[in-house]
Amino acid sequence: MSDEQPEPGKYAKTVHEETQDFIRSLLAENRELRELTARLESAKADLAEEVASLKERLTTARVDLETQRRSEARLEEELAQAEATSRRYSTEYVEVERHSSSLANLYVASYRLHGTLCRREVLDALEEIIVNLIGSEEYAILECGANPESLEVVAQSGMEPARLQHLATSSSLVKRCARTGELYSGNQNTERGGHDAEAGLTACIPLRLEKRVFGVIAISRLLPHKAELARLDLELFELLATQTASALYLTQLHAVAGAGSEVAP
Amino acid sequence: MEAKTILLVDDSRTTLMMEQMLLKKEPYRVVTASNGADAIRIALDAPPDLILLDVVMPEVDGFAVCERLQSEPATESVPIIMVTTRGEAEHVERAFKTGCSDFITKPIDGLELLAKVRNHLAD
Repeated sequence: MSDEQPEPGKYAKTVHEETQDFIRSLLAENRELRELTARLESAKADLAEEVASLKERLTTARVDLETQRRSEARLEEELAQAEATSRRYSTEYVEVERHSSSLANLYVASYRLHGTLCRREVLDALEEIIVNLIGSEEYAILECGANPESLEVVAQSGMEPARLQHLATSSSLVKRCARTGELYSGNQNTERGGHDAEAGLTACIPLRLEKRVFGVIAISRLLPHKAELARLDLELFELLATQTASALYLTQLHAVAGAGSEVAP
Repeated sequence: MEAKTILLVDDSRTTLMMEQMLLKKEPYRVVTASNGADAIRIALDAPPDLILLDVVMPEVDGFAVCERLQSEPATESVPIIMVTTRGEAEHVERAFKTGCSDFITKPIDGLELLAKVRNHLAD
């Protein structure tokens, strides 16, 4: 047997060629890796630039947001002030309208009382005022007569005869009102009992002219839907106290003047 | 724009005067009637845009006026606000049964009256 030995030269050449190939492949791979590295570094630079841009935009957005928040807070404050002003104006408007309505009531009452020289029409106007402006359908209008202890009922509504009698002759409230000329107004007492006429008297209004009392308006219960007297009612009472007396006095003067003269006023 | 017309019906001169004063500052034309018969005649002759109608009146009361006007083609759509001293539930119920649109009690509250008038005329 003979062992075949590769020729040294050929082997070396093969090894050399293979090594060259290997080297070439390594170089090629190295070249590719370098190119890849370059691309990655370029991409990295782009990303870094984008991150920087985004950070800058984020900073700007935060500044804008803070500005918007301050603006919003300022607007909310202005809105709250505007709403408070609006509420105040609404309240003032209601007050002005109520005051205007009160003045209208007083004007109408005064006009109606002094719009005639006829006694009956003055009393009719007074009754309308009590019913429609004050709000009561239980009342008596009493006049002072010759007897200081007894008043005469000249008009009434919703009152029983026994009660009227008591008011005219025995009621301490009515007598005091007629004697002193002082107005009485109290909480409404819904209890009505027999001859206890004080129970249920909401107001006693003296009809007075200067220091003289001509009569009394006794107001019993208010209308069911009217719970209590209002400030306007007290103002109306004060108006009625003086204006009714003067209106009735004028009708007396007119009647006397008419009786003494044929000349119309 | 032509002013709206309001017919005021009440046998009380005091109430009529009060209502006129309260409505004076508004841009309305006001017509008055002091009894139910006149109210029907005036409303049928020239239908108003709104009626303020008292309930308690002699001869022809507010309920009768309301029923009559609600039965007439010329006035059936005219809103009617009943004005009365009777605020009890049964009166309110009867008022609405006769066809009224709203209800207001005496003594009249000026703000309430104006609000209701504006509301019904806006409709």
